Amino acid sequence: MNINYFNPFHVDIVYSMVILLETLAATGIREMDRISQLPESTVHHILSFCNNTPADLVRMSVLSKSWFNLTASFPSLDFNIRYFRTRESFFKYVEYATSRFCHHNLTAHKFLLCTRIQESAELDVVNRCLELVLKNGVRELMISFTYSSLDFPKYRLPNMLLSVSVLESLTMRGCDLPSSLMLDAINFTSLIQLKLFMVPLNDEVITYLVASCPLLQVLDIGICSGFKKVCVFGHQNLQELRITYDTPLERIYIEAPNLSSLRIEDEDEYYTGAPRMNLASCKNLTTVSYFGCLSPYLSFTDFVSSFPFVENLYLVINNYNCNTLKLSSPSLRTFMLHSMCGFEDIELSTPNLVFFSYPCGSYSTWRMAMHSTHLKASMQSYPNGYTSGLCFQKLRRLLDKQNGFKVLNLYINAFHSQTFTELEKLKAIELPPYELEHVELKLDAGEESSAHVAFVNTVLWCCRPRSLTLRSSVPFEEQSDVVEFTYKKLLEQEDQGHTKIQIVSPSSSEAQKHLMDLKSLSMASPREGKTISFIKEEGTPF
Amino acid sequence: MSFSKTIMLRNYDGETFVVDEVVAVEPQTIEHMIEDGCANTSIPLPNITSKILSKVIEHCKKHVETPNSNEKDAKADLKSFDFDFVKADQGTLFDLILAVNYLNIKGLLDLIYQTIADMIKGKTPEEEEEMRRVNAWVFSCFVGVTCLYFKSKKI
Repeated sequence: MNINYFNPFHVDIVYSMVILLETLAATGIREMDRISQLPESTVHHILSFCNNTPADLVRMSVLSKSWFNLTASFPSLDFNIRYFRTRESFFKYVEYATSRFCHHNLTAHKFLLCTRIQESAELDVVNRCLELVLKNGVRELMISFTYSSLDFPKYRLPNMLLSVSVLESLTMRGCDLPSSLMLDAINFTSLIQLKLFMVPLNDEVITYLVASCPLLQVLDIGICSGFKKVCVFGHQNLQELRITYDTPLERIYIEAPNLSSLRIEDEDEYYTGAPRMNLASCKNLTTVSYFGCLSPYLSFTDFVSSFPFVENLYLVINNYNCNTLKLSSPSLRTFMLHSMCGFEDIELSTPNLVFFSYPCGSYSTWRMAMHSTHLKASMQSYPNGYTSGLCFQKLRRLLDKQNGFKVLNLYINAFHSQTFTELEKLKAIELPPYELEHVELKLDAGEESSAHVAFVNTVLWCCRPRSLTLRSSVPFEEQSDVVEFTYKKLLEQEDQGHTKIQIVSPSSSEAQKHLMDLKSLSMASPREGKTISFIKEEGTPF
Repeated sequence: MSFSKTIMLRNYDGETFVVDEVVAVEPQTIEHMIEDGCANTSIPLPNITSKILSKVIEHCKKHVETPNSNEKDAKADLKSFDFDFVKADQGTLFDLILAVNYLNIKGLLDLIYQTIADMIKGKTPEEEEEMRRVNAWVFSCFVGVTCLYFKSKKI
């Protein structure tokens, strides 16, 4: 019998005995007794560290009278239909647990409800429970519904919601705001976080809602049809704003001096271009990510100038059809870029840039780059099928033009290495290898070692690093030809007599120290695989 | 040679513990007492026994002395210390709750709560013996009730 699917109203006595048996098997009876004698708030605090599936809670409630009361007054109500075998048992349990708790007239800490709705009778249950909970207040409320048919009208939350002054976090998905929203006073004096997904909204509602939540710090609006503008006037506490839209968004106007993070995602099928943005008064807006399109009349530079104080920028541009990428920003520190088209020419006028990733790597790398305080100017590249544009000759020209990068990380996978590694074209541009402090190359496991050798060869035509790290999921003991070739090639770059190359493999004791030193040079992308490092040292002539 | 200030803590049993100030202020309650100027001679902690107080001091000391770095070694060391710390017998653990609650040491309180939550989730070796004994009793009840059930269903 799978005890994880819970059916509380099975009056079967055998079933109850099995539950009791399982419960006693799970925990010693004496210690459960002891725990139940602690102060109620302490027990609740302890319970908050447990998983608390409905089955767990019911098991605990049958242990003793004190446990029955303790679980009944546990202020965290979390209902998710996935733990239940039948829809009927789920809704019965929701009603049972909620009324049991509300009987105590306490403020709930959490009320989380996540389910698919099939019949209107189910919504009656939801409504009754919500009204009970809202009467005594709740700190964190989450209602997440999907519906069995498109015709089903979205559930509208009761008007009582607007007067819950202790509410700190509100998440709504697939439901509707109370009908009296624009008429009654909104009493969200404690609301810090507001997340709305697939909730019908319009311009006025958004502005009014935000203005009514003076302590609001986080606002997340996702796929809420009906709004064309997002306007926030004079909000002191707003820190994070995230907007995802699938119908055209015309304008974003924010006056929030403490706004530090903005994320805009365009999921509209028809690429209409970026919304007009007015964020000039957001002096703390340092982190911006934009996933969408640019209109043909808006250059990159103009787009980025909407964020005059930006330090960290993550751009995924779907449609920009231009050969030149020109960007000017005195404050920019980290920049990750992905675009469908390849750029012939990249000009960055960014004196403070320490991290440039194009084509860009993962979002998590960005987080790491943002929080790295001692990163030396480095460039990272993950070429993929979309950007045939960035091949070695372009890379070489870019390094020359930018003339500031000290570190280069290249991650090429097997599929694209052929197009990337065109040595003849590189030789044709007749520039000497660019001097760098450090180069890190990721070798794809699926490739032949001859391909790796060709890759290293081309890289070392392109640049002359003081140290080089190879990274691969295959141990380097099995890739001796690549190692030897790399060693030879690195030595060839220097005056043979004056330079020694120290090889640092992970098994050596020096490896840890070297990796620590490199921390400021190489971007800590997921530290997977094995590494081997080659460090050039000035040696005495033979 | 540095002179570090020490604080005297006097407890339920009348015993006095002398600790460095930096260790003594880990518990927020004591920190507030010192700030409020109630700590001129010694701080009274009448509801805490010597055994418990010395355990608490041990924990505070260890956490204060461990450098707050992100070094793997330091973190692993602290983790294994915490792991051993909560292996105390149940009686001590429960006495600790009340003391730590009064003293208001958040880190230690969370550690103890997590330990007890883990107890609720799964059994520790000491209880297995108990459980086998209890289960035997329950099983015999179970058999009895099942028989009654089937009897009532006239099977």
